[in-house]
Amino acid sequence: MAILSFPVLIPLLKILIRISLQAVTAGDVSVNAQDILYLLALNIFIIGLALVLFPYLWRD
Amino acid sequence: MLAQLHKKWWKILCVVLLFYTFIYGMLVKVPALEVLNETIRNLFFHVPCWFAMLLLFFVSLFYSVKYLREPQMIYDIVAVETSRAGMIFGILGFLTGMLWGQYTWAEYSNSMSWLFNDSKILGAFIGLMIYVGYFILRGSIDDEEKRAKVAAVYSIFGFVLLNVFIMVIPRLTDSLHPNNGGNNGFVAYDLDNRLRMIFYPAVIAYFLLGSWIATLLIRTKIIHYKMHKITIYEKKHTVSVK
Repeated sequence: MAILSFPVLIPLLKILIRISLQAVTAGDVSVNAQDILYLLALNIFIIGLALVLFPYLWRD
Repeated sequence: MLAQLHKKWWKILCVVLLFYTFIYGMLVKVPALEVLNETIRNLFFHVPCWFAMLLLFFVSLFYSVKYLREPQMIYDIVAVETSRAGMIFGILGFLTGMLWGQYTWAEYSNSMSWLFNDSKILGAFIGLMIYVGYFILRGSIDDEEKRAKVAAVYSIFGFVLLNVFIMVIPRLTDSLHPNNGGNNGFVAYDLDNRLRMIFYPAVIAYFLLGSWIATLLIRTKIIHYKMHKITIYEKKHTVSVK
């Protein structure tokens, strides 16, 4: 059942891989602020949806 | 949707508009654009597929929410079958997009990297996978009412995320698609409204075709439920208080 959330994780993984590559390789230490913003926005969407929809599932 | 299941007028309108789209789509004079040349005609087939998919998924969402408020099985039947029809159009949109990309963005076609390099393509793929998960979820639960409730909740989740992945995120990131990632929009292609005259009827035609497919699936499902003696719609008796 939890495997159904895998598609949602793909953009998350993509951004995280990009950021961690930048963090690990020696080079400029600056981080792309836009990426972090999208991460935050995506998290807010997913958490918000879960907060709204979970009571419907739990009511039984 | 339910009131129009058996009516004929919109089906005839659908066929007329489809013929109009196909014939005039191929005959209209298109503006001369650099990379696209004549392939801009795919605008009448590729983009309406996605619009029709979004509209069908919206109908499914509407009936999912209706089911959560008042648990009648007929709402669940409409929700799942319109999702199925929307999925068909999503796959068609993907295929037409691949065909179009073959002739315009062909440098990506050596590997599967075309899927991951463009944020709108990836977003559409993920959105479709979420709906594939919807069908898998439905198949994994046996009890009808529980299945309908869980599926309704998941379809709300799926629709919001589909819109985020197709509409919101591509506009913010780099993308080759028009109107996303800093590119010009549709208006830059269609300077004298010639393309618009075929594009909007095409959207209506594809949505009506999707609804037609959905109504056939719904009617089959209703017969199946009636055969197995499962109640589809229970009228609630209202007690009047004097």
